Amino acid sequence: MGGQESIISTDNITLILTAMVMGTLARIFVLKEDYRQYPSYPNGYMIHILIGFIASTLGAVFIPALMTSNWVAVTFLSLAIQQFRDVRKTEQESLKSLENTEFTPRGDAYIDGIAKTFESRNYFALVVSISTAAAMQIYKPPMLILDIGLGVITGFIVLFLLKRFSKGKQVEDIAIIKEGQIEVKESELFVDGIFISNLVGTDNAQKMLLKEAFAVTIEPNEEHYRITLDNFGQRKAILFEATRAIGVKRYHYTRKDFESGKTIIVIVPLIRDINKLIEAVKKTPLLESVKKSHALMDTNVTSGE
Amino acid sequence: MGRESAQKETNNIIAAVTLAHHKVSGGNSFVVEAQNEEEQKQIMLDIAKAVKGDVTKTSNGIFLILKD
Repeated sequence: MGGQESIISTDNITLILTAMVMGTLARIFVLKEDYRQYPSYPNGYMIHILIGFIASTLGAVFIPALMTSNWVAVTFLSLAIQQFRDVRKTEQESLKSLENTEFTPRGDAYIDGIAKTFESRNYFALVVSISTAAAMQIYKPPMLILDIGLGVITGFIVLFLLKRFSKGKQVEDIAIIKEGQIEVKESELFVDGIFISNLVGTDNAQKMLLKEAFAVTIEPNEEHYRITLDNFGQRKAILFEATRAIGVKRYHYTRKDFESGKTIIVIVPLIRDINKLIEAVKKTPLLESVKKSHALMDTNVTSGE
Repeated sequence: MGRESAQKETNNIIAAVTLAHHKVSGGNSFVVEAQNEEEQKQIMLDIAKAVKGDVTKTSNGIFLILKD
């Protein structure tokens, strides 16, 4: 299509290759950051690096295609976006099908968040490779090495900005996480004097909870963070991360205390390591669907009545 | 309980283990009357293990076996 040359020029091939490499690298860099959630296995890596590679290829050929007045190239992008939305769907489906096999389910809100993250990370690869190619095309340094260097630097800057933009917050940013003291009275379970459950009627359960259970209290730093922490999806996500870090032998409970605003988790773990548990809770991402901007809730700033 | 039911974290009562002085009228669940407290505890354990349920003791001494 487009050009008369049947063989691609050296300029173009450098541009395309650099952009492709930068885009793929961008995907690999953000994939590593993701290991805690999913995927932490070779096949998961393989799939996502390959999709990232395809995304960056699409981005890389976009600029040369436009340069040869090939306007159809724009439609490729919409095709790509369709593909990435499929990535999100696939991700969602595969996580949902795993729900029954986990210690505790992730919950729909968490799955939605993870799937969206996967989709957006493919756009990282696309955007990085487009901007790399664009920079190399617009400002053409005389030497090949300078040209590539310019592309690489642009790519990294764009990646850095995108990463900052899409970075989510974690539970530790809005709450104080502490170990709680477990008590059992009759068939009732208390943590720091707060009622959790009365489902511990058997002697075995009582002994196990007293001897082996861990309790963690999550106390929001500010009043309005309670809305985020009390959200059912968010609590499920926290419980999931906690049980995934140290396993669960039997009982697990979450409870909200409306008086103090604390959220409490109790688990009888497989691995008795309270620090690991606290770390897992701290590092649980705040779900996008739950988060809200406090600033936006202050109405009538400019549109006063 | 509106919110809770939407989030599907409800328990069903599978069985109740009572003593002679408890008056329990009929319901959907299985009710066993034990001779004494020792037997009551044992029956509770048997049923709870069989259905892998949770157990709670009401303040008047009835054991309820629940499962979600």
